[in-house]
Amino acid sequence: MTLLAQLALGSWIAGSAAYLTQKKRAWIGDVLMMLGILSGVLFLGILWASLGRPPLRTLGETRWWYAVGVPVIGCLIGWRFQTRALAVPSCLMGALFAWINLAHPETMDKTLMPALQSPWFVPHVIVYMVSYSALGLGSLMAAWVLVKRLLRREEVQPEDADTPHRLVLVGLPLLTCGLLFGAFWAKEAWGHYWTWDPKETWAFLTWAAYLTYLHVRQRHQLKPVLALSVLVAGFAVLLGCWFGVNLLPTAQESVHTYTRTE
Amino acid sequence: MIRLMIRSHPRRPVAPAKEQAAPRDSEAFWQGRLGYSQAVVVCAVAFAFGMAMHASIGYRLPATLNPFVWLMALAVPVSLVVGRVGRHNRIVHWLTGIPMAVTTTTAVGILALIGGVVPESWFQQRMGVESMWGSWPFLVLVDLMMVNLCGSVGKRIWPLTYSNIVYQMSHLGLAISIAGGAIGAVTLERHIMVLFPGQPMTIAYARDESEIKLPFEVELKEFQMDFFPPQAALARLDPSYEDGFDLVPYGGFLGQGTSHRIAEDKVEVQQFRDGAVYAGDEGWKHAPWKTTGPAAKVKVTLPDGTGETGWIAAGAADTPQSHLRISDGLALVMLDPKPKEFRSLITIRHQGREIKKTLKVNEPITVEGWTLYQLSYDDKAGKASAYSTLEVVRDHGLPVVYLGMALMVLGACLHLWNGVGGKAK
Repeated sequence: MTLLAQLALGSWIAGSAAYLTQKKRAWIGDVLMMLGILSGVLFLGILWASLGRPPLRTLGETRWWYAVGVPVIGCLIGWRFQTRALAVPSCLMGALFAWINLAHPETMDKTLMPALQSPWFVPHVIVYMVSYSALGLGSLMAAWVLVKRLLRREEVQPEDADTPHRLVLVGLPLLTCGLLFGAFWAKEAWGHYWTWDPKETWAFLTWAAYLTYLHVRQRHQLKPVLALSVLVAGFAVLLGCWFGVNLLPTAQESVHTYTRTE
Repeated sequence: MIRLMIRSHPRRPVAPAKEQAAPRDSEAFWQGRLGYSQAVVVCAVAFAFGMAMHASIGYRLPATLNPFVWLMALAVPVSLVVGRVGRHNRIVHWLTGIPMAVTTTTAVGILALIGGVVPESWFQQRMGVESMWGSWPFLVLVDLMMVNLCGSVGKRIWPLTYSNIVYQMSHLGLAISIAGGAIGAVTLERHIMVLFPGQPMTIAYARDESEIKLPFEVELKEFQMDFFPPQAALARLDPSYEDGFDLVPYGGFLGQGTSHRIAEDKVEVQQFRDGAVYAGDEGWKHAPWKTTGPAAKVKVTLPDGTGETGWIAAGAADTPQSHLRISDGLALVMLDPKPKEFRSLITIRHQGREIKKTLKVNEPITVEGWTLYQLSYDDKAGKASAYSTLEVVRDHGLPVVYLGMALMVLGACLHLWNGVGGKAK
């Protein structure tokens, strides 16, 4: 199983190198990227079967979905809009997350707490991870555009923001659905759809950050620097929601525990 | 400014510019093009107003009398109409526009960030408010956001073009959800019910511990609990850890005849008991009671070929925990089995009718407008818990919230379709 993950990692790194060095033979990069995606999907399938539950519970498990999701999104959006602009960043981001997981392997625990045994579990987390993949890739592209133009002392052009914007147009509706699926699930499991639990609060902040981006972009299409900067900041909030919230003192107050006697 | 002057003095000759009284800065600020700066000022004033309410009135008002909670619900129809009727007015246009949307969302986001980082206990001890979410500044800013949101929907409520419909679904959906949430904040009833086997109950307890009489009776017949098979871990003595040892967990399940590799050590389970009691030299004997825990006889083989054989047990109410010492500073322990499912077998009696139900996490039951949730149990006693805790909830705002959420999901799907279809600008 680890071999498949290593194959995915290697394919994405090699794919990035191929895209950068073999521009006239981009099909080599395409093949390697697809090989990485197939290995990653197969790895997730085997992991699911071996655990006997959806591998969507721990941060490490969601990182695997992200590692596979980013190249998939990069591939689909690239195919839809006939561009290879996303190929290298999506391969590198997938490789980075795969490497983090391989370098810090988690204990693969087969247990699944009762609250997670819900029909909402899989759609909620998968929709979220696809959304995070698109939004993360969008923010990475935005950061790349800003840095590139800054180093070249050039003005950011409106067309620079097109690809990041397309990714947000995919990611934000999915983020909305993920948020609402979570609310429906919370109602079934804990009795209320929204309790301003620390995780919920950070999910709202992430959503608000990307909504702000969308409105700023709508208002200032000819001045894309501001919107792209908001997009980069949005990813910082997203990472805070995904990983950072567990480190905060407020995480101790989470209502997502269900063995209390009140 | 010039237009206003002409209106005020239509027949007078225009005075030379140097003789005119210079417009005050504040007038120019509000009479020019309204945008982000003005929105920031309005948000700052709203925040200051909220703080003034916090300092003066405080939180003596119950939610049912809080005008800003009601305003959240009322903002939907009022702002819709005002946004529509006054859409050509510069003030209304600005109040319902993007600069105000961005600024109010940012302001609410900043307060949410504080609420998401600072523990609630700080608000309770230092600010005299239960949390950020019920504080005056937060409520006032959310109201402002609602005015902007609903007014913007009013502006685009007609004509019914595809783009306006998509816009309304996401924006009106959000507004309806927030309004439903406000109704819920006023009318929500969320209480705790503690059930003991064989004792019919009609009383639930509110957060302030007052008793609430329910229109039905609930009796716990039995509390049941299932566990995942137990897991093992290697415990290495290490004073640098808080508990004095470093635990290397293993995700696999222990069972009769299973073999595992934990770190570099091989662990083979020779005998396994679901529930067992310690029987001295005879090891652990099968005893499937609620107060016993699992035990296993294991053989541990170290990488150098040496090893140990013996019993490990997780421990339970009536049985001790037992570990297998492998070498100096190294032992194999059995971890407490993790809950797989817990459920209450209950009988609900109402108006002479009797309904038997099984209440589980994620599978609530609705009776007479009240929804019952399996909340918790005595986690120290585990499956021997003497009681089961239920949550009983009634929320009149829920249908409104669900309507809003359904519109938002539809709006999100259409936005996604537009995004993938490349129609978005």
